[in-house]
Amino acid sequence: MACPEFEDLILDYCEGAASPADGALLESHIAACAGCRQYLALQRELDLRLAKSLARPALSPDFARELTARMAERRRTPRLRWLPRILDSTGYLSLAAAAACLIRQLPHAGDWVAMAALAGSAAFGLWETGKALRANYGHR
Amino acid sequence: MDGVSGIQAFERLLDEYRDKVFRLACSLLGNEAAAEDATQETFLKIWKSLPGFRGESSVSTWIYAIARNTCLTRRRMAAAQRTISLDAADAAAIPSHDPPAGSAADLRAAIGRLPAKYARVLVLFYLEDRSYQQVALALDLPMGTVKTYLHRAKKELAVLLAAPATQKEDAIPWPALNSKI
Repeated sequence: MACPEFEDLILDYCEGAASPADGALLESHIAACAGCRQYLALQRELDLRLAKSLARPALSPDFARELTARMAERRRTPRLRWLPRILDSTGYLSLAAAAACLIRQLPHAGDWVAMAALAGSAAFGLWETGKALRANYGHR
Repeated sequence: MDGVSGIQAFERLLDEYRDKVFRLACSLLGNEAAAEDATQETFLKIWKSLPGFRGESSVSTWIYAIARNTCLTRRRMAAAQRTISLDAADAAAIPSHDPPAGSAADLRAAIGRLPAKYARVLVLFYLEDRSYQQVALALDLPMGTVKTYLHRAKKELAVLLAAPATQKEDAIPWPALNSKI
């Protein structure tokens, strides 16, 4: 069991981040403290195992060729891909507005029914518009 | 920026940053194949946005931000749609190129049990040759936070690896690290 006040210093020391003064302090401490000596050995072993196990991965040899192909594909893609989604949004809004107008024309509908329908339709339209916009522009 | 100088600028960025972006993607996605695909997508976005880059932040900050957003979007999509099989992720798990054996498997299982933010910093620290600065830059964290997370990760790892064998046997396998990171 290492002395709590030396644990971070031991980790700094293993990572080569301890200052010369702190390094000297730790060395004099571990000469007299078996717990910290053991913890230092454990962390050094762990550091070696991590370095060995977490080897640097390499990109595949095809990376550049595939990227070039994807760039060429993007160049061919029409620029107005967002247009259908904008039209979708417009369509939802129009639908909501039309529904509101229709309800408003019913002969026996009271004003409160028409107002509620209008508010509901507008909310629906805004909701759908928001969804369409998020789908188009979200997470970029 | 004209066409030729734009292409040259992009090629310079690609040469300088593709491996760094790939390692960041590995630490965030936990899977080499997914990380490579995210790296490609990141550079497609860079290529598309480069003419509009005004230098309001440093190039490296800008590139790492695009890479992080790309990886995080992929993780969210994978989580929402469940299109990525954890078994498939296991087959192509990161860092090591050899099948884990014995203590290496224990080590990975122990990393998988760490809180994701600690595991992410720990993995990237070793992928980046023990550079606090590189990890801080790539993950957009203060250097002190990187060091704190790294130390907490190592302290917890030491405890987990010292646990009795019976507890190690049901340790979470490497793909769990993928899903947490």
